[in-house]
Amino acid sequence: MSTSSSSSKKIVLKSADNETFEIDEIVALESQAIKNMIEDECADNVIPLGNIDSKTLSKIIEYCKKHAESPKKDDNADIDEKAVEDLKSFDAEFAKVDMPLIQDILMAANFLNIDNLIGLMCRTIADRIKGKTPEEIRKILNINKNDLLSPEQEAKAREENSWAFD
Amino acid sequence: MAEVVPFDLVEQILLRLGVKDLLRCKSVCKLWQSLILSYRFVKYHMNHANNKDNNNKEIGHRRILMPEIYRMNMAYDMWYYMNSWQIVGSSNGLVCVTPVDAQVYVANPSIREVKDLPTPPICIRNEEDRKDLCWGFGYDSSIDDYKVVIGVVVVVEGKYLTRFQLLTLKSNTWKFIGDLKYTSFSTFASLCNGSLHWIMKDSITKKWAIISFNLSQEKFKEISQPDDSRYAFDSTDISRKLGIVEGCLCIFNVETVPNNTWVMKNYNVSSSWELLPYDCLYNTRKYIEQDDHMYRCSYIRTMYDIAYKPIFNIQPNDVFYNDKDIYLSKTTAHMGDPIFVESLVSPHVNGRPKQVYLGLEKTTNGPRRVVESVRARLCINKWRHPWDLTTTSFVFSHHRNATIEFKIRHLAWMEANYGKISSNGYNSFCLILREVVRKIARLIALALDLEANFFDRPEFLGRPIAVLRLLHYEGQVSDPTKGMYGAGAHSDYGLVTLLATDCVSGLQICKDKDAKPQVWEDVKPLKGAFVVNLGDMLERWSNRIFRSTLHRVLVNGQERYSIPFFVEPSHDCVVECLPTCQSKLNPPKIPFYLMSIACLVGVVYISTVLGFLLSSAKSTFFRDIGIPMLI
Repeated sequence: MSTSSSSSKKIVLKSADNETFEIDEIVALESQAIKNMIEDECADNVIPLGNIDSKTLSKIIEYCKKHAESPKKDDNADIDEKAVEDLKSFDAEFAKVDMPLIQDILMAANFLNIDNLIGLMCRTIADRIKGKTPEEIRKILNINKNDLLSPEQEAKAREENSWAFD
Repeated sequence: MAEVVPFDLVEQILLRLGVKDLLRCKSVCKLWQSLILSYRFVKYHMNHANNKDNNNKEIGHRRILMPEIYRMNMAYDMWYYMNSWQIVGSSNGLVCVTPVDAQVYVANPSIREVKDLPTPPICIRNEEDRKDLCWGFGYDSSIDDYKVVIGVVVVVEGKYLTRFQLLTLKSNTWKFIGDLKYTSFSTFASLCNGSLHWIMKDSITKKWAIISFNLSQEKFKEISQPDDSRYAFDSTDISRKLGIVEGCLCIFNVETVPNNTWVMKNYNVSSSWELLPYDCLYNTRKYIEQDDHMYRCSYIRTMYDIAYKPIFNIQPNDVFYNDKDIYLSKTTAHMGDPIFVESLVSPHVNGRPKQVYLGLEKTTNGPRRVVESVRARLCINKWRHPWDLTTTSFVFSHHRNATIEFKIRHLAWMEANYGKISSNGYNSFCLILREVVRKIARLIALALDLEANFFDRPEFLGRPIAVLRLLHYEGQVSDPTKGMYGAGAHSDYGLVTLLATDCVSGLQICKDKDAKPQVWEDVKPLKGAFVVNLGDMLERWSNRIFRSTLHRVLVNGQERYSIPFFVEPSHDCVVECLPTCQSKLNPPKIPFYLMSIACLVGVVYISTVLGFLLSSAKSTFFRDIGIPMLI
């Protein structure tokens, strides 16, 4: 699957902190946004990603590489179970990072339009706020303080579903 | 960096949370609250949950069941089974339930909201009528509304027809939609492909048919059945049921499942009916080994949450079976149960009224606690009767299957002795018995110079406390000299007791309670007849014109079944000497008391002071002994 570095076309990405990453085109194609740029033939030069820092970008490239190497579902109806399992455990490992980075990856994936990665990050965040109280969730996700409910509104919302807080 | 997550991504995250989490998340911030409450999100979330279950090959669909609820009758310190509620159907997280008669509610157990619907314009006189109804519930995507359908058998010009009425939640009124020349066989419709499906019987040709009702077009249609020599479905076969397997309509035999299960692979394509191979449900599935049977995982959820709503009149001490939210079960056993997803969809389609949320009562510490306290109580009962050998009560056998088996055995026995009772035996049996008691009460009233309908008043027998008890004497041998009885000497404390017994003798009565020594006479069993025992309250009312019957049971080693039906006045009845039974020369011999106090004192007194009697009685049911006099 993976293309050897000599024969394949390279794409160069530049992070917000001016670090450049050279990747195989097949890896870059995981991003719908970059795919569109390649199709529009405007990916020949360095692609500047002004809102993604190098730490986040390297994580994203790690993810895209792994997924680009794995056999695609629609390629072959009976993809072997092992590859699916392997990808699953990679995803699980990949998501084991702290919350700020997860949010950064999520927003970058959203910008680059990488569906699977958006799904993975949303699932991760959902898993982390599952069973938590509103206070804990605000802290975990750094919710905007200006958007909080008034004490009366909050009391009402709690009252209505008090059993959900057991 | 960690900026605030933008709106569309918040939606993506929340989509992946369960309903209970989302209800909590409403308190996180304004954005989240407005998002979670929005119509768009509710839909989006529901579809996501639907897809998740559809695509989950390992678990399969969630089904929803009614919990089995047992209620404690304080007066007798015993449990009885409340079984009249039934699930009509489920769609998008909403569940349509009918508790009794033709009453109908739509509830969402995940968010604990209930909407009661207007009673359909049909006449239900008793439980028998209720059995002839057919029901259905489903979603009509063309108008984004939910529809409840009810069909009732009517006779028009000598022909049996089923008359259908329909209600849309938004309109909240019933309308007539048509008569069908079929009579219902399956009560609750299976929802598949936007249509409801019943097995019905052609009232002219007497043939069985699968009838579908398209919820959008509101049209009935017959669905062709499998055209295959292996498919036999004659008029004597009453175990057929419709169900849903992997999104397809199926027809199966409840007794042979999963054998003889036919699945319509492509909806309404007659050639697509296939016989489900026995192991088909299992071979691509993950299964668990349990009790040496292969089980396929399937989510089951019960109406447990919603059962706290006052409409179901749930009391804190009620005990639930299938009380777990979700458990694993053999799928084929639930093919006929409605598929359920958790959703935020409100049954209040036209906007929520105030105070619809069902918070748990502050006094109850959540369902589990209630169940625990009840279990603890059962243990105490056990401890109180360590000699509980001579009789077995279904109420004290925790094990659910034992309970059901016990009931079935009783029912079989009852039918053998008292004729066919109908499929939901106990309820109709109780109704009949109540009527008999009412008639006896009229005779008593006339004998006491009262109006014949004296006891029909609400506080007397208008709202009686009536309990049917199933007794089974296991075949021990009584020995009065050693104080071993099937049931020790006692009189019942209510008005009257109707006692059905089998042909095994054992009941003895003592005509003169005050004689010493007491003389005991056998009561010969009479097939198909009831023994009428007078209770202590009648003695009090009648100023001892009627004496309560002192009786006991001696068992001779044979198994013995008996079913007493106790009838008492309502809790707020004052039990005092009747005016026609007293005069200056004949003042009341026994002081009055309030029924509810009698029950209370009875329980306390029986459990403490009468301990010594209990120990000699060696019987669980000896606690029926009369209420102590309050002086």
